[in-house]
Amino acid sequence: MGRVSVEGVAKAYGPKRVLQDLSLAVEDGECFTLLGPSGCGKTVLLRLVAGFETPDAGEITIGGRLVSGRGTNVPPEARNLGVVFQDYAVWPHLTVRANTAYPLKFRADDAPQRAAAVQGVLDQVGLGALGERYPSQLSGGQQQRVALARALVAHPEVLLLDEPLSNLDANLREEMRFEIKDLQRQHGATILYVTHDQEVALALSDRIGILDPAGRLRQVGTPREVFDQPADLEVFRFLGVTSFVDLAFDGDQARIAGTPLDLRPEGPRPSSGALVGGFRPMEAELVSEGGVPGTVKRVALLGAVVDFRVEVGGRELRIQQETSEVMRGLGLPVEGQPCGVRFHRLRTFAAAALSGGA
Amino acid sequence: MRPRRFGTAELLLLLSILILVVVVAIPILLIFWNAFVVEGKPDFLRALALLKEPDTLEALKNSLVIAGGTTVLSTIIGVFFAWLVSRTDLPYKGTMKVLFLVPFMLPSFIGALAWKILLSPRGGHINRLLMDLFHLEDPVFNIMSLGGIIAVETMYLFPFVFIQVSGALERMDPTLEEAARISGAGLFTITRRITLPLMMPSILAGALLVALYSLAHFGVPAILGTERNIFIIPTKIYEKIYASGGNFEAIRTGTMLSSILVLSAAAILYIQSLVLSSGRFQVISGKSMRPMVLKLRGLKWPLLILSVVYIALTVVLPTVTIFLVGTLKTYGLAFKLENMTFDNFTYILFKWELTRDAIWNSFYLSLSAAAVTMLIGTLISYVLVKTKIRGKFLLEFLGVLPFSVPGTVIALGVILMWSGRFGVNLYNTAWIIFVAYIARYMAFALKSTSAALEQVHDSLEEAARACGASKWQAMKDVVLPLIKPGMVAAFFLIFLPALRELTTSVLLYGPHTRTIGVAIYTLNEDGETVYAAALAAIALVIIVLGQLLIKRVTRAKIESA
Repeated sequence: MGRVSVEGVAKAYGPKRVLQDLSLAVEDGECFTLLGPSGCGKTVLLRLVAGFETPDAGEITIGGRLVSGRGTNVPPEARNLGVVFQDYAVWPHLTVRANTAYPLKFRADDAPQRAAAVQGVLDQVGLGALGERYPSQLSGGQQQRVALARALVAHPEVLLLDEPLSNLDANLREEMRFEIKDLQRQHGATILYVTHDQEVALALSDRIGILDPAGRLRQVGTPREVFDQPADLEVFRFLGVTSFVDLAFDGDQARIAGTPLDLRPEGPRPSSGALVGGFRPMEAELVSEGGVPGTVKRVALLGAVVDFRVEVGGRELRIQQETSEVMRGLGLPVEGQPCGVRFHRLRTFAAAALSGGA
Repeated sequence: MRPRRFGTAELLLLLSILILVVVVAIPILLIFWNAFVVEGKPDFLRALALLKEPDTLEALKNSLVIAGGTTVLSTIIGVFFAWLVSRTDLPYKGTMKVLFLVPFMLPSFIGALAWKILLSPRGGHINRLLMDLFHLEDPVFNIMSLGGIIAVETMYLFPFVFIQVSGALERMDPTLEEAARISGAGLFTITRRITLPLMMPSILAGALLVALYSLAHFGVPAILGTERNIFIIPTKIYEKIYASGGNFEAIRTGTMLSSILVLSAAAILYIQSLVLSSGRFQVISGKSMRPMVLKLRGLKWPLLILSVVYIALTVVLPTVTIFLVGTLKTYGLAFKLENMTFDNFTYILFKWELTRDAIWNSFYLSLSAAAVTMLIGTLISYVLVKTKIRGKFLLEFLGVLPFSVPGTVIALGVILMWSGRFGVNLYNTAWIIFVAYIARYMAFALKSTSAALEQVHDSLEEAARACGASKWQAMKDVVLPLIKPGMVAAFFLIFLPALRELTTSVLLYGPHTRTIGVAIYTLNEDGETVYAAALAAIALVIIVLGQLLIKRVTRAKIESA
C-alpha cells in the first residue's frame, strides 16, 4: 500500500545540481531514514516526494500510483501524506485541537467521528488535556507533538518527517525518538525520515540510506549493516567518531609503524597504493605491555568512559575505554607518557580516499 | 528543465506588474518624457535651460536650504530628546516618550496655519502682544520666512529621528558600553567613541527620512512661503500647473522639477538602504535590554521643564490656537467669551456645501483608496514574497518605485496620464484623486503586507497542502488569517494619512472634489481664516479619534492572539 519508490530523480536549482539520478525504495510499513550532512539534498528529496517541488527528471510513485514524472504531477494535497516539518509548522492562529482536526476537514467523516479521531490521536501524543491551548502556550516539544498528531490523524499511507527532532533539546529528542517509533507501530504507516542526526537514524530506522555531500546514495541497509559493514570510507566516517592509522602488509601480516598486529584487518585490500586502517574509539585500547607504541597526548575523564588522544606513527587517534577498566588496569596515564595501543578491529581503506575526502 | 505552463502564479505576476505599470510606472515615465522630449526628440539642453529661469533656480535653492536646515535641526532635536528619554533618569520618561511622538499624527499644514496666526509679521497674535508690551515698532518674529518654514517643518518631522534613535538606543547591547567603562573610559569618551558611532546608522536613517519629507512637503511652505514669494520645488510645481493655466512651457517646467524630486528621492532612499545594510544589526539586537542610565542629578527637573515647554510650544499652543480661532465670530476679534461661538462648527459640518463635501470626499476617498491599495498591496507582496517564478525581478524593480515618488510628482503624473491623452479623462473627478492615492500609498501597503507575509513561513502553507488543502484552501485557512493584522495595519497606515492629505490632492481637486486638506488650504488662501481654523479643528478631532480607534483595534488583535 504505502510503498514509496523514487526512480532516477534529478533536481537542480538554476546551475546548482542538487540531486542526480537518485533511486531508492521505501517498503510498505517500513521506517526508512535518509541520513546525510546538511546541504546534501535530503530535504529536497523529501519535498519532491511530498509534491512541494517537481523533479526535473525521473519518477516517483506512492502506493503504486505515479505521482511525479512522465508528465504527471499530483499536487501535495492529493498524495495522502502526513508531513512533519523541522520548524513544526503548527498554525499559531488555531488551537491544538483545530490544528489536529484540519486534515479531517477534507474527509467525509461526520462530526462525532472526527472529534473522536482527534481526541484519540491527541491522547496518543500525550496532549489529550491541552486541546484548547494555542501553540504559543506550548513548549517546543509539545508543538512538535501537535505536528505529529496532525500528520497522523487522517491515517496517511506515508509519513514524511523532515528533521522533526533537531529543534528539541537532547532529553526530549531521546523521548520523542521512542514515541515516533511507537506511533509508527500503532499506525503502521510507511515513514520516510530525513535527518543529519546519526543517533536518531540508527535508533529509529528499519533501514538507512546514506547520502554524501554531493547528493549520491552511498549505501542502503539496516542500521547494523551500515554501521558494522560500511560500504566505503565516506559511510564509515559519517557514522560516529573514526580514527585512521597507516597500515603496511607483508603477505597477510599487517603492521603499524613496523609493529606486527595480532589481528587481520577487514575489507578489501587494493593491490596498489598505500592503505589505512580505520577504527572507532571503542575498537582499540591502551595496554601497559606490548601493542603498537605511541604517546598519550590528551586524557579526558568523561565519566563512564575515558577519552584518549594518542599519537601513533604521526597520526592522532581517538580511543575510549571504560573508566573502571582503565582504573583496574594501568590507571590514568599522564599526558606525554609513552604507551602501547592494541587494536581489536581495523577496516582497510585506500589512503588516497582519506586525504581526498573531507 | 521542462518549460512550465502558464499557471496561476504567472497570471498573478502579470496582473501585479500591470497594476504597478499603469498606476506608478507610466505616470513617472510621462513626467520624464514631458521633461526631456520635445516634439518627439530628446532635448536635454532646452530642459536644462528651463531650470535656469530665475524663479525655478530660486525654488531649487530654497528647497535645498529648507531641506538642509530642517534635516540638521530635526536631527539635533531628535537625537537630544531620544537620548534624554532612553538614556537618562528623566522623570516621567514614558509619558514624555509618547508626547514626543504626538507631532507625528498632526498634519504639518495645520500647524503652519496656527503659526501663521500666531507669528505672521503684522497680524500674528504673539507679535502683536510683544509689540504692545514693549512698545516696539517692528514685529519680533517672522514665521513667513525660510527660517520660519524650517522651524515649523522641524516641529513635525523631528519624530522620524527620535523614533529611529530611541529605538536603537534601547536595543543596543549595554555590555558594549560597559566594556568601555571597565576599560577606563569616561562617560564623554564612551558617548563619543562607542555610543555615537553605533547610533550613526539610525541617526542617518532618520535624518534621510526628514530630508525626503521636507523636500516633498507642500503644506508648510505653501502656507508660510507662497504669500511672501518663497517657493520650493513642490509649491513651484503647483504654481506652474495651477496658476499659469496649464500652458505647455509651465507643464514642462513642472515635469522638470518633478524629475529632480524623483531623482533626489531615489538618491536619498538609495543612500538610506546603504546605511541600513551596513551591519548595525550585529550590535543592536531585536530584544530590549536594560540600558546604562545617566543620572541627571541637578539637571533632572530643568531638563524635564525644557521638554514640557517644548511640547507645550510645539503641540499644545498651535492646537489650542486652531480651536480658539475656529470659534471666533470674525477673525481679528479678541479671544473673549462673547466673541466666541460654536456656530462655525455646525455651519461647516452641516450647512456649508463646500466643507461638508470636503469632509465627505476625504472620507470616502481615503476609505476606498485604503481598502483597494491594501488589497492590491497584499496581492503584489504575495507574488514578491511567496512565489518563485521567472520575471519576478521586474516586479521587484517596479515595487521599489512607489517608495521614491513624492506626492506632488504622483499628482502631476496622473494629470498627464488621465487627462484624456490616453482616451480616459478623469480630470476634475474624484477618480483622479483615487488613482493618485493608490500610487502614493502603495509603498505603505507593500511594506506592511510583505513584512507580514515574510513572517508566515512557507512550511505553514505547505503543512496545509500536505493535510489535503488545495492552494486556495491553504491560502484561505492559513495565510490570510495570519497576515490579517498586517493587512489591517496597512489599511490604517493609508487611511489616516490620506484623510489629512494635501500635497497630492491640491493639484488634482476640481470644483466638487475638494478634500479636507484642500478645503483648509483654499479657505486660508481666500482669507477665511476662521473657517479654515474651524475645519482644521474638526480635522484634528477626526485624526485623534482615528488614532484611538487604531489603538483599540490593534490592541484587541494582540489580546486575542
